[in-house]
Amino acid sequence: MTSKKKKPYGNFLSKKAVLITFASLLLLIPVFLLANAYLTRNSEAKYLPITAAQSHKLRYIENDLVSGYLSDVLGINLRSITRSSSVNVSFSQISLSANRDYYAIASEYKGFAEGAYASLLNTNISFTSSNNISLEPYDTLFSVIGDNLTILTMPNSTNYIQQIAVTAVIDAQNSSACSSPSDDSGSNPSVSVNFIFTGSSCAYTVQLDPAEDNDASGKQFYADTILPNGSIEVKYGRVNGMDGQLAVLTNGITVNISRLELVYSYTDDKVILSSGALTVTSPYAGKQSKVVFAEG
Amino acid sequence: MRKITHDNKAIVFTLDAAFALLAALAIITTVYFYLSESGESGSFHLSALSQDTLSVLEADSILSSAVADISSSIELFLSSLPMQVCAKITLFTSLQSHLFTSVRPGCIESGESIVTRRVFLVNYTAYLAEAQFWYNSTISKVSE
Repeated sequence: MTSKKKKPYGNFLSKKAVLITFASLLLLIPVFLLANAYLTRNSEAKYLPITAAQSHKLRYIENDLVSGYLSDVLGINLRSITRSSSVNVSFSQISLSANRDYYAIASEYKGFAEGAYASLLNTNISFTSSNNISLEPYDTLFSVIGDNLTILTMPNSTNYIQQIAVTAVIDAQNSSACSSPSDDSGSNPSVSVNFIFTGSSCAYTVQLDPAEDNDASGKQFYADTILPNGSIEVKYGRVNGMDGQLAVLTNGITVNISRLELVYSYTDDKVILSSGALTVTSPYAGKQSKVVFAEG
Repeated sequence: MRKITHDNKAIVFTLDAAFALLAALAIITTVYFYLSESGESGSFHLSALSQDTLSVLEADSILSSAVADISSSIELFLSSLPMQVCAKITLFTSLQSHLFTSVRPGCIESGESIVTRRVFLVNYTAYLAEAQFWYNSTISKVSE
């Protein structure tokens, strides 16, 4: 009899327990789901600072290797890239010396960057820059080889190049009359050359056909020097069979081109001075980019 | 079945409150532990500061001057860094031969530090600058 009386109360308790258990599960499941979501997010987020730090490091390495390359490795200082009705690219220094092999200097720098420097920074570096620099979109290619500078302005020199100005400071005395090529006039590019010797100078401005051998009279912008004995010549036009080439050729003297201005017809495109490519790879990230010296 | 008395109820409520309190304390301690963990961020800032320092030293030609034995300007620059930061700059040739070392005055080297390097050229020859940065433990203890 006693057991029969207790049964309804027991049923009520067991139903209540089931209800409490069910309610507890309902409350706990979202907590578990929330904890799991937090764990997943946290495990992904813990790599974010590492990735950010690695990206920062790669940008720093790129800046380190590229920032001084133009001036410190190739001896070239870019003054400005300006725009008005035309695009004016101006250099304030290009050093030419028979005692300096820019190709060897660039190769040594590349070897150091890819070897000892990369090893110390725990990265792999591939640096394909050289002593050749390109100016896009004008397809202009600069090469400094020892004491000579060549600038290839083709294939579009007649469409793009409007004016070229060269001022060369020569560490020697002038020993001959300066010569200049004959004027081609028309819509040809204007070429201004100024030689500044120790104690004297000479300057000429003529228009030259970029697709013509302007050496017909023997020499173009030319002068001999003493103390030391040597010579300097600036050529423009078809040089060594290539049209639209500007060449500054020196012999036995040290020359600092204190001003080189190239005036191009206007373009809306960004003007980029660059050379080769740089690839930096670390254990967590990698970066491949053009070696860009300037944009304008 | 035993009847639940008021005393038993009090024990249950007390235990319940104690467990809740323990759980709350455990959660608060865990959260505080994770939030106070700022090691990654600290080293990142120190790394950025060391990179900026070497970039400025190179741009101001202080590194290239230092190759010609004018090291005082590096010490002067290091002295102008925030007081809680210690730094040591060492210059090497491209073949990793030691040239000289400059340490911020009043700093003692610590075990935990950040090392950054930068290449620079003098007369077409490559050199390597190494910056070692760490937090000044003396300043930290004073502020604590």
